[in-house]
Amino acid sequence: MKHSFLRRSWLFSWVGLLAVACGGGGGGGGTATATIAGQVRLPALAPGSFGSTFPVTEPMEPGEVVVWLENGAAAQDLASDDYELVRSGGPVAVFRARTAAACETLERGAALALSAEWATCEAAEQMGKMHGVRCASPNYMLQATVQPNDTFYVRQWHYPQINLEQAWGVTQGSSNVIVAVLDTGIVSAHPEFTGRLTSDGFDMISNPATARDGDGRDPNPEDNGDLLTPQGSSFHGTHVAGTIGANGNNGAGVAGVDWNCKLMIVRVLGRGGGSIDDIANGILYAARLTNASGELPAQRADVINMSLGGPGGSAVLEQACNAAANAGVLLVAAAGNDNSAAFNSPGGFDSVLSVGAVDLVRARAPYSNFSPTVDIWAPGGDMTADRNGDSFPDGVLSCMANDQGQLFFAFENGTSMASPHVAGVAALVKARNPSLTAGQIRTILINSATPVAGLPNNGRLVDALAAVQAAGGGAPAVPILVATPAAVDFGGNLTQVSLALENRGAGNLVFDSFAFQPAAPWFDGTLVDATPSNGIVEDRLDVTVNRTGLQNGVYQTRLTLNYVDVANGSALVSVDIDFRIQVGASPASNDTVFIVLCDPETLEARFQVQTTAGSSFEFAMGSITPGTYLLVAGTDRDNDGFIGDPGELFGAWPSLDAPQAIVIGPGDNLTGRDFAMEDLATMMSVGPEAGLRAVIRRLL
Amino acid sequence: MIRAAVLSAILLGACAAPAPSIWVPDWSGPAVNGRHLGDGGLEVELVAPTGGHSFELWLVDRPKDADFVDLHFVHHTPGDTFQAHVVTPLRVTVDAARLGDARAVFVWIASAEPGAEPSPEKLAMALARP
Repeated sequence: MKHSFLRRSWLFSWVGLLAVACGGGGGGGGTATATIAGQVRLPALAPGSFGSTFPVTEPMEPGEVVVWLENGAAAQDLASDDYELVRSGGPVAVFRARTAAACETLERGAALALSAEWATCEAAEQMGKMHGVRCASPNYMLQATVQPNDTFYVRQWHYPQINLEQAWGVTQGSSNVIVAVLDTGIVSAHPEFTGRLTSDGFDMISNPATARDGDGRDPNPEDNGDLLTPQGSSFHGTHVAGTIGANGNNGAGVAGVDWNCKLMIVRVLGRGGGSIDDIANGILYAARLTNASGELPAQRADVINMSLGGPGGSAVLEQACNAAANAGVLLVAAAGNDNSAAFNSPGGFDSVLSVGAVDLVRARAPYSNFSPTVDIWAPGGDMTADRNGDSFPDGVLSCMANDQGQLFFAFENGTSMASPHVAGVAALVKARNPSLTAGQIRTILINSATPVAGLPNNGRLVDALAAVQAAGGGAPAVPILVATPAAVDFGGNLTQVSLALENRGAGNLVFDSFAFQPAAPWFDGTLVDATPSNGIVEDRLDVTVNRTGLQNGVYQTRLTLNYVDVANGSALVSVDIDFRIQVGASPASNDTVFIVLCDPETLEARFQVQTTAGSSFEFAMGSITPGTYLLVAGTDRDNDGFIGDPGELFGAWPSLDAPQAIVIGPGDNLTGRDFAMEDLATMMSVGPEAGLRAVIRRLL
Repeated sequence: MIRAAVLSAILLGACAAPAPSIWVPDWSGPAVNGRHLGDGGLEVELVAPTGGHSFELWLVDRPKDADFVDLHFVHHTPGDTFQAHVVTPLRVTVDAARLGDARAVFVWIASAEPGAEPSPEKLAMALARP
């Protein structure tokens, strides 16, 4: 289907369309034909602007400002009618703001549906400017959710997607758990692996030419590079190992899924790939089973990650996987990147947990295999898109190196990147409850995963929090608030989204408040609380957007939902959800826009015109054969014959969220078929609201 | 020449008679993208689904007096070996000087399994130059 659509679309683009546009072709051969006309609008692309201050979204003691005093300054000297001294000790003092400015801010905040937190942030800014104060801040509170302080963590969107921050509040892993990484080896000098590698890693590559280290099998799993491309070696194993276990919360670089587990590096891929012989022996080695090297590790691995594969099955490889599984090892493997349902080994073996890849909006990544043997899904990214608008591709960020010996971090995408997420979560589960067997961990991972609409075969996305909780080891002592989805892009058309709210932890959470930061009066929220004052049971927040009066642009804000932990006084538990909306039309574009009438069943193009330049595109199509069509429009910026690729504009009538078929009768002259295009590089939808976009993405 | 007719349709937007489907791109391998560079050059990208692939330009062919240029690539596949499952974009830049004043570019690709002769070339895309 994909390629037939490609060819047909390409043909229309370059040849057939010219004939249609000129009035030839497309006729019904004696049947009265019809016309259709309208206007296609461009999306807004210019970013909106906001002021910034302290994050009002973080939990804090409302009204309290904590300051660090300059040497010689006295807290009492700062106290006034505006700032009441609550307590002090050493250089730290806490004040309660009662200023007129704070009151005004409170009033303004109320008008903006904000809360006392806003006034507290304003007061902190004012106190920070006072003589004798080195710095000031709202009195933020710690919470069960753990956001590591690694420099580039903010780019690791793939961890919040699987509720890792909440899981880290339960466990951050254990050095007693070993994850074997069967891959290209590792660049051990990367600081993210300091203290994390076992001393018994192994190079299982038997062919010196493949290994590029001058010998066959040896106990040194250092990655000597595979020189796969003119750009250099892949250092694939370093990236994969970083996702599993890069040092976390160490103030630098990136975080891994598990911050404490040990990584056993087993090198099985070299120049040109890997052989069944080497991979099978690598599996046996990691499982501490007799193998061709004659060597054994001190302790067998608990988990084996294999971000690799090949077509078809191999009985020898399957025997090795079965033997390792019988020895108590959980095997995790990538499902493959062929965008097909074809069998791929070792992921397809029954004894191996096969992992498919999703993108930033939890849709199947365009390359991911989707065979029924895929057991679970995890973030693998999509480098062709930037749906969170952070100016970086939506890949998985992890450790990297190059042939010149430089160490850095890089985005990659593939089921290779999805598999280590699951392996890392498996390690967290094992850390949470060391008595669990590999089979039990596998069951927990699958059963606790989140069903996601649209994933093939009723697929489920790994849920780190649910998995570590299901591991037992005692219930967490704190409430854990989870909102689904964790991020929403309303695009240019979507007007309402519902957020499901849950308490995945202990205690009894009762709704308190919500606020947008920066202020976003165009959003409104309505909490649907099925059991008021009785905890967070089936709570739901319906968020609506009103674009009236907004200037063209793209606007972002963050919603913080606050719940009160009734078992712990006034303590607030919060969760953040990022929102993004788009308004109006952008300045003129030089894009060529293709307007297509296509078959609603097959999406094959039937009639098409094209136009260039402008901020909106008038179109008129004639000689249309009566029938039922979908009306879509888009650009083909990469000239690949597809419209609507990631990074291109795409739209459908009347909207991308809810496209409708148009019935065109003989002699009809339809007008006013106006609709807007979205920028697929920045558009993000969720669940069923994904509309036609999801269909088109699959076909393309 | 059939291609000349197609080329005319592409470049001039004329109501030329549609060409036979033989010039419809028939490449069915990994996705291929083309990007015009600011200096007049062209970047051709093959998006390999795994490691172990390579992509190279072996011939730039500009028939005498033609308005187009043919770029001939070879895509070396890893065959049935086991590979890292990382999506790997392989990019080749064709200098503007090699494209000259050609008004269109045809990208042809032959695939080669390890140790085997390349398969017949397939047309991956045709690009009008800006």
